[in-house]
Amino acid sequence: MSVLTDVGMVAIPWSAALDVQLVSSGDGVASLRMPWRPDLSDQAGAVATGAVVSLVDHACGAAVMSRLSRPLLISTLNLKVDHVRRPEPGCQVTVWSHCYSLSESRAFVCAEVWDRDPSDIIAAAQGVFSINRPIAE
Amino acid sequence: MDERVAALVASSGFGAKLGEMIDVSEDGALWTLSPRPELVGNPLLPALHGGAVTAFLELACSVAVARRLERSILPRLISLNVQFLTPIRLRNVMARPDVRRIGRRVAVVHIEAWQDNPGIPGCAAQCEFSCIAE
Repeated sequence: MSVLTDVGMVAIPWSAALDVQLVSSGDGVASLRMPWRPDLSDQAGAVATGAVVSLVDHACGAAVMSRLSRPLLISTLNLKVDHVRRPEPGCQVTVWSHCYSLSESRAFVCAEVWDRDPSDIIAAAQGVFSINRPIAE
Repeated sequence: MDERVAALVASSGFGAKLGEMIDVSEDGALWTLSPRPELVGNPLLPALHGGAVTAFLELACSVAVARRLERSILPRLISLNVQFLTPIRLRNVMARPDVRRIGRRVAVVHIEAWQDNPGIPGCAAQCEFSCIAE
């Protein structure tokens, strides 16, 4: 499955285009995976930083969604991604995101991305999301 | 599009993918993204995915640095900070990378994306790149 449906999200075309797959989500934590593909790679043949930031943004949103008691529209206020090192060429990447604080109007999220070993990350991220109106039924 | 700019954009698989939707004019200064529906992140509005807009801005910044360094290799992104001011709709997005500093080790680039009015940015990003050749 390449789109998220279990956290109140409708299909997200850009995530589907990147083959983003949901590993798990719940209680403010989400994990997603993106495969390596030639059209997602950088000049060295590793997953491109631009694809990683898309994965991180989606994962952070999924972590927020998983903490909401009902589907609400959320939007990214800001996102900071530190690219610690380049992933291994040809290797998929996995993200783990955690919504560690949530109020009625804002959510704070952090995330880590790795290729082979969760203790050897390729990127670390921090983001703030705005929680907007309910998704119309 | 300028040949050197086109070569840098298409120098990676991901750049080539985004590059199909990108035009660069004014000698590399003005970047225009004509988004296809696959870039949508919120189908309800519809609005572009924040990650897709960010990837476009990052590509513009990295090409600006490569041109300043007169290199055919894109610089490695160290860190990126992006702020979303308004939803970016499914129509042309414009941006002008602003190289704030190029040192021996690090380059700093700021960029803002707008749609209708350059004075009303929808998204702003700051990027730091490594200038050290790998």
